[in-house]
Amino acid sequence: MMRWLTLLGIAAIVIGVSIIVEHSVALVFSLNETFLILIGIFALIQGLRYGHRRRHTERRQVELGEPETRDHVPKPGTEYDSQFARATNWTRPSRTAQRTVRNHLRATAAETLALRESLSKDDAIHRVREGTWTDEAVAAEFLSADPQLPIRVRLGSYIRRESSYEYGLRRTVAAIADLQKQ
Amino acid sequence: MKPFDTRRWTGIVAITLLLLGTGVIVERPGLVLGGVIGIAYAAGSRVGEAPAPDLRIERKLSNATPEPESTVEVTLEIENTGQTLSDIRIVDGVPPGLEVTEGSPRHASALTAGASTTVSYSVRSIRGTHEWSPIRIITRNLSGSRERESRHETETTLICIPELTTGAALPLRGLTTQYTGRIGTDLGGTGVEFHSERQYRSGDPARRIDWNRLARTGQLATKEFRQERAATVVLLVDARKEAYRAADEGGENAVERSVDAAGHAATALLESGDQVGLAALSPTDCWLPPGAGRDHRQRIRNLLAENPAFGSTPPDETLYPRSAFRVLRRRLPADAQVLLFSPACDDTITRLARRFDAYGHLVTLVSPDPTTDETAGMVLAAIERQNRLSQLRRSGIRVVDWGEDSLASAVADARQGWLR
Repeated sequence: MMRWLTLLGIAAIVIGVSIIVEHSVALVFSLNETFLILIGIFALIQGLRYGHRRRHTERRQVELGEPETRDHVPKPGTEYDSQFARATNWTRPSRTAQRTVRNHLRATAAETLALRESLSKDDAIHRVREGTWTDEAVAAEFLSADPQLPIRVRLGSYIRRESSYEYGLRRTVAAIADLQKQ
Repeated sequence: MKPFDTRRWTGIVAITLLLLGTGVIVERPGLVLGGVIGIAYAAGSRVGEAPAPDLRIERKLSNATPEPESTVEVTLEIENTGQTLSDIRIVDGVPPGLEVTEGSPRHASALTAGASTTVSYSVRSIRGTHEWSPIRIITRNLSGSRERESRHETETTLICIPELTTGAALPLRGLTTQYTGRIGTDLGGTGVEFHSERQYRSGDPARRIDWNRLARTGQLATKEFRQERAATVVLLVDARKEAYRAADEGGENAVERSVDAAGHAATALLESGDQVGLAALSPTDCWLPPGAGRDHRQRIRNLLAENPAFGSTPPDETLYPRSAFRVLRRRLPADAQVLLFSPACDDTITRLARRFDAYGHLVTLVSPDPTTDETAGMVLAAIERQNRLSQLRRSGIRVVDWGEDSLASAVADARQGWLR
């Protein structure tokens, strides 16, 4: 089928070129105006159809990668960053990811506190839930049993185009790092 | 691989038909003529297939067994032994552990039948055995509408085995063998450091008699010195997928740093008369029982450089720590200490270290630090790693936290902590 269409196309080109070279050849084909307009409309419709198809067609080529560079290994914590990104998505934050991240941070804060102040695990967890593990108010509230960040903080983060969850998370990680360095 | 359509000329049909249709309706011959040219292009794009290349390729290295950090020039000599190739792209399969420092492993050209071309580039050598992957060849037809990928196998291997040099002498713990070495014990006998005195026994060497005491009291006494014994040490390198972490993209990863440190430790320990073994915590088995001597040192050197367990890229398989622990427990001599090299980026390694310690194998952890503080997630990972190290210290396990400074400096810092 494709072969026949190709041959038909080549024949049309030959006729077209010969009409350009020798105008008398055009007299062989007597076509009235209505027929020509119909052909023109058909060509336009087909043209638009092909144009639409082109817009939804991606070019294909062999992906060659980067053989010049060494294979990269991940930096520690990139998996946490992916989880944080799901939890802090501006338009559709994942509630499950938010819960997981908050529980993870609670556990890390409790462990750091227990090691730092030689507390039992239960005492450290209690202090994190009570919000008495740090002087950083946002971090303390973020990991408390019933986290409710103040309106002032939520408004501030909204102005910075940052969710209050993201702001709280950032401040909490910094607070745990400070606790460890003390 | 079969040739495929690149869809490069998909839009030309739309343009052609639009020109033709508009030209016919508004009766403008110029537009119709433009459409005719478009038809020629559209027809041309359907002519010809991406050819299957028939090439003779030879790869040459300026030095196949270089020293670490030296430059190796790679040359590809390509000869077209088949039909003319109007569009050919060649990409060499540089080993994933090597980095191109000069030139490019890519080449694009047209090759007539019988023509030749050369591609050359340089790589920086890094410890290990590096094998080149097959060369990728992409050919296209004249219009670029069809593309074909082929692979050409040319086996080439670069082997880089660094000399084992003495670096930081890692302090060992009290568990010793019956052989003389450098670790002080609580037993009196021959040695350097004074231990105690006992009553003279017939046959004691004259140089150990305390002549001052004889002069003072008239009694014969023999001086005892602190006995120094050798240790049996197994260097255990964490080479699991989870240990392949680096602070810089493309920089030395934690496993590479661990392997370097294990090499330094092996040399120092063997020179002081200790028995040294080598093992990898990796899905690829690697075990060298403790031994001593020049041949043993050479075996350690070769294993660290050539064994796939210590490769510069992470393994595909996952290691099951429980079964790995059982296997290692069976292999470890009862009096063996474990020098564990790990970035401690997950809890598995702390559990393993504690279990070895609980079974009587005194553990010292040397931990290259791959953490950074670029993002919140990375800060959290750094906090967790420090917590792991603190927990190990609390369990009585010695820890060398090795940051960006030299290993010797990290060991010196750690010693200060152990003395307190």
